[in-house]
Amino acid sequence: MSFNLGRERPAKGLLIMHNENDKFRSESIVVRLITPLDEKTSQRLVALNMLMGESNSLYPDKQQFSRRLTGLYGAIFNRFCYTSGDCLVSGFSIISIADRFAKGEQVTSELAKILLCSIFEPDIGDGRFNEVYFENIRHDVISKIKSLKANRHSYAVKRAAEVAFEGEPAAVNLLGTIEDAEALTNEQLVESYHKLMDTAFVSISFCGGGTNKEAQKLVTERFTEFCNSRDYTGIEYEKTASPSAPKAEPRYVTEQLEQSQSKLVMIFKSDCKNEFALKMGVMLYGGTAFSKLFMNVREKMSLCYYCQASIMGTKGGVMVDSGVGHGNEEKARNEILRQLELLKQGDFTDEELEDAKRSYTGSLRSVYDFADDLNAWFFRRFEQGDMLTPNDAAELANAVTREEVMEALSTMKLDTVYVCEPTETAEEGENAE
Amino acid sequence: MSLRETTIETLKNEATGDSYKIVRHKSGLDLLLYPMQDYMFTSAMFAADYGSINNCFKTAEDDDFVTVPDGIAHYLEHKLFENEDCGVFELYAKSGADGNAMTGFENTIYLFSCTENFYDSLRILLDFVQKPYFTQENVDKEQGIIGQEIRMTMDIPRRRVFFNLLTALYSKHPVRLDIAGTEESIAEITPELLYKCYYAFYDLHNMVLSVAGNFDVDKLIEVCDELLKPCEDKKLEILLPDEPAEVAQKRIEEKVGVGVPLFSIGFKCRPFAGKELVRKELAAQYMLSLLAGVTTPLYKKLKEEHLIPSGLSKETFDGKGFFALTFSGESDDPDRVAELILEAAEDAKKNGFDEEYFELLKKSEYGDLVKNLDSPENCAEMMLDCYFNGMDIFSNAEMIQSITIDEVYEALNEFIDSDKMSISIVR
Repeated sequence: MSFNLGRERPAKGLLIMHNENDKFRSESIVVRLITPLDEKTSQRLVALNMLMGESNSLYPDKQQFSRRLTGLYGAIFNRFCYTSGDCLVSGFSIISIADRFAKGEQVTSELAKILLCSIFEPDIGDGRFNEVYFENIRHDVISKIKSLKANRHSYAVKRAAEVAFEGEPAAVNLLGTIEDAEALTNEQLVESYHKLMDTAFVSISFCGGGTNKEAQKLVTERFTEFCNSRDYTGIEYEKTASPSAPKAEPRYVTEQLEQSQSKLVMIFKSDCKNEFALKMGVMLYGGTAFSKLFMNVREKMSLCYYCQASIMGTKGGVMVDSGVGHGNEEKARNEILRQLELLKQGDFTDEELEDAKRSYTGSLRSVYDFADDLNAWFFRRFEQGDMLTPNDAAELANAVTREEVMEALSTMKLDTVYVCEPTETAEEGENAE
Repeated sequence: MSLRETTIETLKNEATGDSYKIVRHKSGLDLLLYPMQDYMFTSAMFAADYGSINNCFKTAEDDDFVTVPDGIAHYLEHKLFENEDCGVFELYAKSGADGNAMTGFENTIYLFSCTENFYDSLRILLDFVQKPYFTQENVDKEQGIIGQEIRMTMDIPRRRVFFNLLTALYSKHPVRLDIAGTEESIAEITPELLYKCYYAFYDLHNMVLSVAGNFDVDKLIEVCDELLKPCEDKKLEILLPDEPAEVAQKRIEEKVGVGVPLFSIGFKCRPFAGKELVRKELAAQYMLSLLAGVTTPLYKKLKEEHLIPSGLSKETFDGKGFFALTFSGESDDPDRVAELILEAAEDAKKNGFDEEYFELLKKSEYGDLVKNLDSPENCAEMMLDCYFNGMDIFSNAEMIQSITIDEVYEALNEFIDSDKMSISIVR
């Protein structure tokens, strides 16, 4: 069993990462295209990403494309779009079994060719994407916008982040508006494609078993050649994290939806430089099933089923979210704040801190056992601007003292309190407290 | 009480070179053990063959069948996490394990994962699941938490549309009821009822332990020897109502305020049991892919008419006394989706499926097996799922490859019947 970790920048605007372990039977290649987040272009880039996932010049027919992947032992071709700090990350990944399990077939290099084709040779015949697929995608984007509220929990988290980061690129709604989607044209997406290829910072990750050498060679050579041939003047990203400053006064926003339960989301901002002290503090606060929030807001007060705290890594925030019965929002909010104040004052035992460290370092060790987790871990470290391994992080976490935890938690400033409550009893509009 | 001898059987897969062990432990518990020495992670699942549908039962102690409140299996799962002196999560905090539990229609699973102190965590798991502690006070306390869990699930429209479909398909079978029950039904739960259910179902003969990852088989058996408490056969009998073949209602709609309506279309089929159930399920899954997968003319038409913006998911849903096929997604016109599914099924009945693609699907299934064996968590889960179906991972994989196209056509002809279709829509 051997673990291979590497990072290289073979051309301007290109980063290649290796995080492989030969115990894995699967192989994956992830290509991320990173651009600054901009309200004017995000919807087009989302639609473009969806469209590029439908077909390519090798497989212009979606059905044939999908059929080929099935024949390659059910290989998975994913597309994705998400925010990272104030950046938009769009891209594609392929996941397949390693060739040694493929009964004599070379599936990984075949898949690398398909991936490269989707990125470098999308199906743009006569300067336009396939009209049927374009219309399908345009319609799908409109439906996605309409469906944003369907998942009440994720909608509440999204709205809270919009309020917290208002005025910053991170608050941009990637899907944009229905009006813009209705006006979207095929030409705009072709233009967006060329611009994306010219201006995106490219990050490639090879993960899994690392036995797909031929596939890696194909991808590395093609991207190196491409990046050397373009005149890249964009940001040579070393990281994407972009901490947000807290508001002078917290903002309280209450909205209503047809639902059974209120969703309470609180966002704190922190300028803490000691990442792992804050991490340990947040673990103690609401990061485990033995945390202060779990033991008090849920177990002692029976106010909710979930009440959890997590770090919003690239924006320097900490989010607490909970689902509480309507009428109990204030009670829950007060207890959430009270528990934080108690922790800031050092109301936790050394044993509790050790438990939090044990839980966190345990989860870090497990990263080595999941190819997807390794990929996610090293991209998160790229976002933070370093290359810490999970073992490095465990060492740093274990060295954190209770004083450092208290100091880290003391940097947390309440920024946003967002409540989405059931309609029947709620008032309309935005209520400032 | 006479105990059986502990025996160990090794199961092997020639194609991938993998193997795992089934230990018939003397206590009556079966252990499914998949050592993976290259990993640090270990996943353990202690499961009872007891879920939300088991709400009417009888043991040797009872004169007649007892009906218990809906949601009690799930409530019991919550309450087992509380010991007399502390909560289980506090114990896991000391060993470094990440613990959890889940209750389904047919079983309840207590699980943990860890990268150190595995045997300590295993002790915690085996101990607390065998040591119920229910008081009026701790039972009352849970009402608020589970009440909020129920409300949380009511705010998930995707879940609502599916559970509404079950009430449309089934008129008597308890699968039509929510796993967590209702706020009203859980208010009827008492410590006495919890103990009654516990002693009826949490019998080691009715349970299984599944472990995959970094551990030593002999050491694990030693811990089991020490901690497993053999119990007498309770002569448990489960009563499930006679479910009519017809659907309870053809259509069910609810308004909860979603942007694009969600739909779930179900076809009610006759239930199966044992290996026949597994075979029918596998044939039905192939059939669903051939009928409505991304490569099919049906899928293409649905996309071209802009009827399934977020795709079409298709599933088999089956267990003791129930078997159904479902098609779900978002659509502005769910009735048109149902119409096109029925048209495509009729066409396939006359003209057949793309049989070449059927062979490709088998390759894909093999690929999925290889990928799943990369993860201790998936291995533990697969061993458990197969065990409850009377199978093992490898015999299940062989069965997947052995399904014939005739069986797939049989599934199409038998299961896609417009008379036994219900549609659930949440707007």
